[in-house]
Formats: sequence, C-alpha cells, structure tokens
Amino acid sequence: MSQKRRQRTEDRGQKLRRNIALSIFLVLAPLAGVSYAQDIAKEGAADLEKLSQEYFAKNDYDGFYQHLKKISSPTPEVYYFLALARQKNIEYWQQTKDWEGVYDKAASYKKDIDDNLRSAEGALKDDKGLLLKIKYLKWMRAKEEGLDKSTGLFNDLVNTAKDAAGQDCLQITKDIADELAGLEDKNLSRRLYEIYVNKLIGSDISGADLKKTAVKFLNDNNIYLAKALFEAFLSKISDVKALLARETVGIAGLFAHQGRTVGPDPVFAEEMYKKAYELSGAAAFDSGSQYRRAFNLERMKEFVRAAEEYKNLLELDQDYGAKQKVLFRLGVLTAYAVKNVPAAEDYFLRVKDEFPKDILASSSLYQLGLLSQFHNDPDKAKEYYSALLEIARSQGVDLEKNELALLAQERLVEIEEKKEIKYGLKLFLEGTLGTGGLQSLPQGTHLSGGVTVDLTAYPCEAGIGQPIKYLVTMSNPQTGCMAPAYAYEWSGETGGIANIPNSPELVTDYAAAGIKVVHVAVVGPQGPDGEGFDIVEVK
Amino acid sequence: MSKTGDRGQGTGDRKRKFQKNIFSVFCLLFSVFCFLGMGKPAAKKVYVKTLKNGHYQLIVDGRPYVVKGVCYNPVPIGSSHDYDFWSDAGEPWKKDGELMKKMGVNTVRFYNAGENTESVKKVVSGLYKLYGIRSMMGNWLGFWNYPAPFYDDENFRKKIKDEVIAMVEALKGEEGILAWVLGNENNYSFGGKINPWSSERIDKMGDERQCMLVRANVYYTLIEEIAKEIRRIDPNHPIVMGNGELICLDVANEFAKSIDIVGCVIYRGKTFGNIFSTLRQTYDKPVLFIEFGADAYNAYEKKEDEDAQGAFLESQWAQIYRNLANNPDGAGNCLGGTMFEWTDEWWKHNDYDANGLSIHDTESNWSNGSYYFDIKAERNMNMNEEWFGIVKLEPQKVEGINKRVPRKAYYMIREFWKNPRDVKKSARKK
Repeated sequence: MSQKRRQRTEDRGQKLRRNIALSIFLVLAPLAGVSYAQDIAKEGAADLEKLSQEYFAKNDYDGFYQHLKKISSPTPEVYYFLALARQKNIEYWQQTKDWEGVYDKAASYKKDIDDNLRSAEGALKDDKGLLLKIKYLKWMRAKEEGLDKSTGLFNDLVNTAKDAAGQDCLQITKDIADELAGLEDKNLSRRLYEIYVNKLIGSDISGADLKKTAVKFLNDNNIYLAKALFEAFLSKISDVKALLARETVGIAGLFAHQGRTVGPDPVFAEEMYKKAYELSGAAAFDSGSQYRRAFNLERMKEFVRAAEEYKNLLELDQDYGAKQKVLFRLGVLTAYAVKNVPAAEDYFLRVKDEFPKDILASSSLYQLGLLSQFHNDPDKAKEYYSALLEIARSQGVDLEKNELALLAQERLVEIEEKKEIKYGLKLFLEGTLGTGGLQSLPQGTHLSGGVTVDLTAYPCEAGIGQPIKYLVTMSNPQTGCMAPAYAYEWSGETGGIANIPNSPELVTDYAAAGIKVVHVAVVGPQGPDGEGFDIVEVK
Repeated sequence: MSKTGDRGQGTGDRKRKFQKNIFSVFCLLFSVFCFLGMGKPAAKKVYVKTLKNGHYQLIVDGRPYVVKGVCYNPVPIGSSHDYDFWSDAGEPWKKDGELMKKMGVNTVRFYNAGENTESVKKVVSGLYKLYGIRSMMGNWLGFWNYPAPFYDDENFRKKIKDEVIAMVEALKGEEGILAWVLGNENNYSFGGKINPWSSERIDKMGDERQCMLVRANVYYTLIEEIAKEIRRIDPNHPIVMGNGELICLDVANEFAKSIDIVGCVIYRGKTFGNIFSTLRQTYDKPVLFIEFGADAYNAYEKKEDEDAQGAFLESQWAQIYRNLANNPDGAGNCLGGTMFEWTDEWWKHNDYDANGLSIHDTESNWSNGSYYFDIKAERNMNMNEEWFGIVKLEPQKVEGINKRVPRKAYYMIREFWKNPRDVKKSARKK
C-alpha cells in the first residue's frame, strides 16, 4: 500500500473513532442530564422546601429559580417553587426598596409567577396542602396588582382551607393566617383563624388543651388567636355557670393591666369581667380579681367606673389586705374624676383614722389640706398640713428632703402669707373642680378650654429611684399641621426632678415609697385648655 | 403695430405692475405685523368650565386638564425656610423637573414667589418649556408676619394686596403659569390658637365663637378684594383660595365669591371622606387639594415606612379621580391636587436649631389619628413633618444638589396615573 493510501486510511480511521466518540457523548450526555434532573425531581416536596430555605436565606432567588429550571419534568411542587422564587425576589426588592426592580424589572417575573401557578394547579392531583399554598400565592399576586378578582381568589382560598383535612393543612392554614395578620386588613387573617379554631375544636381537643394552646398563643403575642381559643374554651365549659364565671375572670386577668406592664388587651379584659359578673354577680370575684378589675379600669382612664369597682372591692372584703391603698385611690378618683369633694374627703379621713402609721395617712392629709385650701378654708388646711408635718417629725423624716413634707410646707407658707395657691396647682384645681365652694360637680364637667388632656405614667408602678415617665396626650383642636403653642404647668408629687420642664413629658423618680398623685394643666394661647392627673405607686 | 395697441398693452403692464406692488407691500406689512406679534406669545387661557351636568373641569389651552401636581419647596439639607430656591445656582428645578416629567407630574405649587422676579420667571418658564410642567404661584398673604398677621389693619391689608398684585402683574404673561393661590391654612388663625391676631373690635366681642366669626369675615373680605383686583388685571388665570379643611367656608361663601377654586389643605388619612358632597352643600366651587399626602415615617415603630406613604397617597388619588368631572360615581367637583410634597424638608421640625438643619429629625410635630398606622406612637404624636417627600434627599451631592432618591410613592403614583383605577382596601404589610 502506498504511503499516501496508508495515510488516508489512518485519517479515515481517526475520523471514524472521533465520530464514534462524539456520538457516544451526544447520546450519554442528555441521559446524564435527565438522570440528574430526575434526581432533583426525586428530591420531593420536603427537600424542595428545605432547598428553598437555603437559597432564600442567601437571597439567591434567581439561583433557586435556575436550579429548578433544570428539571425537565417538573412536578406541581416544582412549578409552585418556581413561582415562589420569583415572588420572593419581588418581595426582596420591596424590602430593600429597589423600586426600579419592583416597578420596572418585575413585569416579566409577574408573568412567570402566573404561568407557573397555572401549571402547578393544572398538574395537581390530591395535595390539598400544596393547593392551599398555590391559591395563597395566586391571591397575593392579584392583591398586589389591585385586581378586582382578588376578592374572589381570597374566597377561594378560604373555601379550600375549609375543605382541606389533615394536620398539615391545619398548620398551613395557620401559617398563612399568621402572615396575613401582619397586613392592614385584619379580616383576612381572621377568616382563616376562624377556620383554624373551628377545626381545632372539632378535633375533640380537650378543654384543658384548648386553654393551654390559648395561653401559648397569648405568650407568642398572637392576641387574636388567643382570644378566639379562650372563647372556644369557655364555650366548652359553659354548662357549669360557677366554673364558667371563675374561668372567665381568670382569663380576664391575663389580659388586664398588670401594674408595671400594660396588659395585652385591657378592653377585652373588662369585657370578660363584665361577662363574669353577668353570670354570677359578685360571687364570680375574689378580692384579688376585683382589685385587678378596678385597677384595669383606672389604667384605662375609666376613672368613674374604677371608683365604683374599688368601692365594690371594699364591700366584698372589708378586711382587704391593702385597704388603705384602695381608700386612697378612691379618694383621689372621687375628688378629681367623680368631682365629689365631700365624699373624697371622707375616704382620705378614713385612711388617716384607720391607718395612722401608714405613709398614705400623710398622703391623705396632704390631699385633705389641698382640698380645704382650694375651697377657702385655710384653718382646716393648716390643720391638715401641720398634722402631716407632725407625723413626719415623729417618724424621723427629713423635712428638708421628703417631698410630701416640702409640699406641705410650701402650702403653709401660702396660707400664712395669704398668697394664692401655686399657679400650676391652682390651674389644675380650678380646671377640675371649678372656682366655687365645696360642691360636687357633674361628672365629666369640663371647665376649661374643652381639650381632653390625658396624663399617663409609664410605668405606673416602680421601685424607689426607678425612672417614671409622665406623658401628656391631648385631643388637638383642628389646626392642621400647626400645633398651638402650649405651656405645661406640672404640679403635685413630681418627685426628684430638679427643674420641671415646660413640656408634655416629665421624667422623674422617687426617693420614698407611697402612692403619688401628679397633675398637669395645659395652657394655650387663649388660656387654660385642659388638665389631667395620674396615680403611680412607688414600692 | 398701431400706437393704440401699444398704448393698450402699456396700460395693462402698468396695471399688473401696480397690483404686484400692492401685493408686495401687503406681504411686507403682514410680515411686520406677524414679527411683532411673535415677540411674545399671548398667555394661554386657563379657566374653570361648568359642564351641562353641573360638574367642574379645568380647561387649559382648550383641553380638560387634571392637576397632577406636587407642592414644591426643595430646601437643601442644612438650609432653612429662608433658603432662596429661585436664585440657587445649582438650579435644582432642572433635576427635579426631569424626575417629575418621568413620573407624570404636570403641575407644581409654589407657596410664594421669590423677590427676584427674573429668577422666578426663569424657573417658571424653564419648567414649562423643558418639562411641560405648569406652576401654581402662591402668596402667604402675610400669615407669617411678625408679630402677627394684622388682617384687621387697613395698612397691613393694603400691603398684602399690593404685594399680590405686583406678583400677578409681573408673572401673568408667563406661559407656564396655571393659577394664583391666595394663602394656605390662614383660616386656622381664626380660633386664636395659631398665629393669633386680633384688633380692638374683635377683642370687644368676648365670646370665642363670635371672635372667630369676625376674624373669618375680616380675612375673607380681604380675599375678595384681592381676587377682584386680580380678575381685573388678569382674566386668564383662575384664582385659588387656600383653606385648611372646610373651616369657616360658610363665611367664605358669603364674603369671598370672586374666587374660582377652593384650594383645600386636607389631612384626613387614606381618603377625603365626604368632603366633595359637603362642599357642594356649603361652598359650591370646584375643589383642588393644594396639600394632602402622608409622611413616610412610622413614629410607632420608629422607622421609615414607604409602604404606608405609598398606600395612603394611592388611595387619595383614587378618590380624587373618582370625583373628577364626568365620573357618575363621584361629585364631579374635583380638579386634581398638588400632593405634599416633592422632597423631604430637613429644617421643619425646629428651624431655630441650626444643628438640626442637617439632621433628618424623627420627632413628630403633630398628631393625626387618621394616619392610624403609627397613631400608637408616644403621646399619639405621629406626624413627622420632615418626612413628607415622595422623593428623599441624601446628604451626598450630585451635580451640586442633594441626591434625589424617589420613594415607593413616586412609583406607585406614576403607575396610578398611567392606569387610574379604584384602589381596593389595601392589604399592604404594616
């Protein structure tokens, strides 16, 4: 064979070998790809869920999307996660305020979401849990676009949740409701929570477990769900009235003001207290729960009703352990909210007479002195202030440092020098009680500018030396964005603060235990506009 | 050729030559007149039309015009209320004009013209010619006069009138002018709590309500005097009377009849409530919302909240559109609005604090329960004056002015204007 022919044969052989190798590669590569894709598909819903969390934690939404796109035979789960990846991407742009992303780049993503959700739902057979998630995502898309059909889609979601059985569907329903609870329209989450609660009740869960679950939700700060479950629990025990009443009172206590902390829902607490009373009257309460009810009303600024409930407490338990505190609070509320000065004086006198050694005896003497001084009975006032100072001396109290003693001395100087009562205090008393003599005024009488002033202490219970912040909140007259220039005249037991600010906020602390009464009068350009008071306990 | 035929031909030639000359002279004269006329184009007419169905429509250049506007007072970071925008060499209106145009803004509201008329003209003209944006030019009517706006004093009234008329005379020929705005929320002073003013005869009233009514009478008669004078010298632009809420419009109905549009300053939250139908009953003039909007700061959660601002503004615009002319679902008396505002103003919380001018203060100036998303803030103080911009400012400068970063509301309203629709109850995240 000539060299040339040999060369040609060799070349043909090489070419043939190359072609065979190429063919084998072309056949095997896709098979490898398919196998790889099938491996991904075999991962299953749980794995996809886990994988999605890994990608989302890195904000790699497109990465996850591209990973899923490699699957040649997507399952409904895959379609769903494709849609979810795009949705989460848009949400990420929202969170990072990439508005160009949200409004300009997202158009194709939105179409993607719609297409994949359609495919997911089309391919779905029996998986109600996945169906719930698909419908939720569909509704979210429509809601974001402000489409009319979003209402129908939400109803569809609700109906699907109603029909879906099984623990996993129950959990998904709750998870969706939890997400919706963060939205402005609370009815959305409520509709799903109702389904969750009904299914939970229908699952033969015991009353005790219902209550336990409710407490757990309360501790998780899911107030709506906690209330729904507590109410479901109460309806389970509704046959036994006395038990029902006691449990209702107990639940109320969980939502009421706690002293140092604001309760989760003081208004709901009072609703429960009312219900309990309707069931069993006073028998539903012991002294502890009766006190909690009265205190809750006081913190809600329902002073007149709080005074009634404090009175009820004393009728319920004449030997109540902290009777002097209740009497003193009654005195303050009766004077400055009920505006019944003679009745208020009775309460203060009871504290002084029944608890002569208690710190509140001095506090009561001060209040008695104030009321007498304001109502032009300087002799009586002098008597009360002097008695206060006498007690202080006998107890070894430093008259130069003790706040009550200092206040009493200040008042005595005013009486002795025939001066007017201190300006801020005078404004408060005039605004609250009027300028007449001893009288009771109609409840709710507003004597000054007609602006509602609320004075609230945070917290209303503190230890010695712990800071307390008093804040003034007002119902503003209609002046648009221009707030009138107000002056804030603080008075009462303002604590250790060196310079009283002319501001709606006062931060102070106290060197002595007791129940402190603080007032504020708000003065506008035309004169006094409103006044308020609050009571704090220093332990 | 006979001499008679020659003569006939000569006459014809002369006749033709004469006609040609006449024609040339005519053309020349016509050109001269046109040239003179083109030196300053006539100001286009802007007016309010009452349609057959009783609805109101603003007509500009012969076409219906919906005011899609912003209140424009772009005080730079570090400056205060006395910043002279008109003479700012950085010409912020150019950058802003670009952004506004992309958004779809067609109107800006200026609270007060600058002292330098030429600078004002440059801005008004530039905004219109470069970006198609028209200007509503206002005057405070002495509201911020120290120690008080003495509306019941003849000298003070004359001073205000002269100032407004001078402004109108100077700017009425500008193509970009859309309307004149008299005052803002001056009526809030009638109650004696804001910028309190009085006079001997008012003090004698004693009764607070009577004092308020007399103040209202005093003020609205001033408005009427100014409006009449403006009409006389400039029939081509409508007159807008600024008013906070609807307070004392019953008095305005009696004493300020010459104004064309009531410019309401309204902060009622997501919607304007029943304002459209109420106006029909009390002061039946077309309404333009010359201030409305939402701040972008959540005073309760103590963080920026662009979602809330966007949702509120979108809802407000939906209601505006529902009450434009020819919408059977609305009152048909709304002409649009200028939302408050284009950019954040970092000086507003306390302009006496020089250090605060460069701080984006988050302390709230006032309370409004309609802005429920953060009403649980301490003392319910939830309205943050320095955060009302739909465009935020950054300290970093770009081309000599603070960098502008549009907020979500910018995009939301841009999309809304492209496709106005009824906004469903928002399911936005808190």
